[in-house]
Amino acid sequence: MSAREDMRRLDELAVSKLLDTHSAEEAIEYRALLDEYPTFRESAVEELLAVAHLACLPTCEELPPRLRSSLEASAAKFLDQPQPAPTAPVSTMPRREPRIAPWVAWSGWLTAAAACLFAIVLGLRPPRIIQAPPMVRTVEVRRPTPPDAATATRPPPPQAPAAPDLAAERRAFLATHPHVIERAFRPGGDPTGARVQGDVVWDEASQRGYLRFVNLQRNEPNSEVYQLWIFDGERDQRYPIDGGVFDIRHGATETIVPIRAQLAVKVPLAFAVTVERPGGVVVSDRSRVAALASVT
Amino acid sequence: MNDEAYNPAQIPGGVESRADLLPQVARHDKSAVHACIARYGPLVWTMARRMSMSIEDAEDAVQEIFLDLWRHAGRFDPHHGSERVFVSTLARRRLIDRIRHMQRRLSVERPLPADLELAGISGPSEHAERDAQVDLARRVLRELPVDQQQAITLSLVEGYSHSEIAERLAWPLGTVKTVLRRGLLRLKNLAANPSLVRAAEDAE
Repeated sequence: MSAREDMRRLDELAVSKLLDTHSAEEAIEYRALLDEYPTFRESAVEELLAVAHLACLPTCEELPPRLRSSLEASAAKFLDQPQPAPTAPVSTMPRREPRIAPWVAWSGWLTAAAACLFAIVLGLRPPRIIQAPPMVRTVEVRRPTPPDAATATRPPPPQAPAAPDLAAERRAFLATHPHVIERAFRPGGDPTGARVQGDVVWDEASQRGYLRFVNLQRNEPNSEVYQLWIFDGERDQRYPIDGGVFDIRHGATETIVPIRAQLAVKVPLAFAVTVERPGGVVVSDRSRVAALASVT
Repeated sequence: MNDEAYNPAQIPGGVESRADLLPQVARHDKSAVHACIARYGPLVWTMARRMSMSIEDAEDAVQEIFLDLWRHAGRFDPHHGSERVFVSTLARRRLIDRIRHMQRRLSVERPLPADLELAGISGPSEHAERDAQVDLARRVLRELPVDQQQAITLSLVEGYSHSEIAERLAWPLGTVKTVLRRGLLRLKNLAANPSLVRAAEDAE
């Protein structure tokens, strides 16, 4: 093989290793090639995975004030330690201990997944969520900041950018997108939305839109959040598109929430708001539907 | 610099600036260390929330990641990628290690939750933060078939095992592995040749 082919193979094997798909033969081949090409940067492939991770990650959530305060305290302790002698950067990443397949750690979930699949096949209602699984999704950035006594003694927080005027944003959006779908929300059965009023506007071309609510009950973010689901006519209706989680801070006043669809919505059929555990869920059991807007 | 004087918006490399912070962190610059929390806290927190078993676990992970970051800030080399990518690489390592450790402990301490269902899957979405590498990756990923995007997202962001992805997407296990490997290799190849991405976009 030429050096170029070797490098291509090294890339393949490095990706394979980091995805934990190495066979025993591939592991041996990889070690041999690494010996032959000692300048190959395996960490470059690890960085590639990090880049892909960032590309797939939804909008970031603000640090909880308590955690931020705790980090500030840790920073102060770190700064009290003596400073190490300066060194030139030698690698993009610190060395790490040899890894064991991380996915091995997740193998136990398979059992539960299989059980759930079995229940679905039998037409049974999936069991209620009893423990937060690790794959929670949190996308809403406009999370309220609860009062935190600890913040009183720490340095002033960095100046956050001013909150956008969502009402103005929405107006501008409507002015510049003449073909939006606009539908009213109606109560979905859960007490939190018993008196809900509001609407959804959605532009198919730009894949953007906003929710607007009045009288959707204020939620306690540490206990539950609202999550939007978009039913798409071109997708399996069991798996609506996650439109993001959000909080209602003042139920009696108007709240506007930008929609953050995680996948392209091709044929919107309905927009549903459910009540879920903090962080949201991957799939809702739809036991608590707060509001519903049908397109068709 | 004392606490009263701390204002990351006013220092070079502070929150409002996009200059790299880690070289200053490596020199134990107090403002930079604090600005690092403000700049990367939301990113690390979001990653940790999605790859942790509980809020408390995610909070512990964030603490560990920042300590790692401050200690190893001197390792950051801008020639090998952006600071944001360095932070997320380090965070991924720590989170994967914690998953491994935590799951081993949990497996003997409590039964597995029986709450897994077929996945509603996230995909690439818009970031407020701009990063050329990440923007390119997002463009490349969006060119992949939706199911491949889903598989990559489930694997990288949600920490799903290949078997779990196979269950959720109703694919053979071998297909999951192949799709992940091909998708990431394509990303790597296109990342090395951005002109190919532009050409593909222009052709649309």
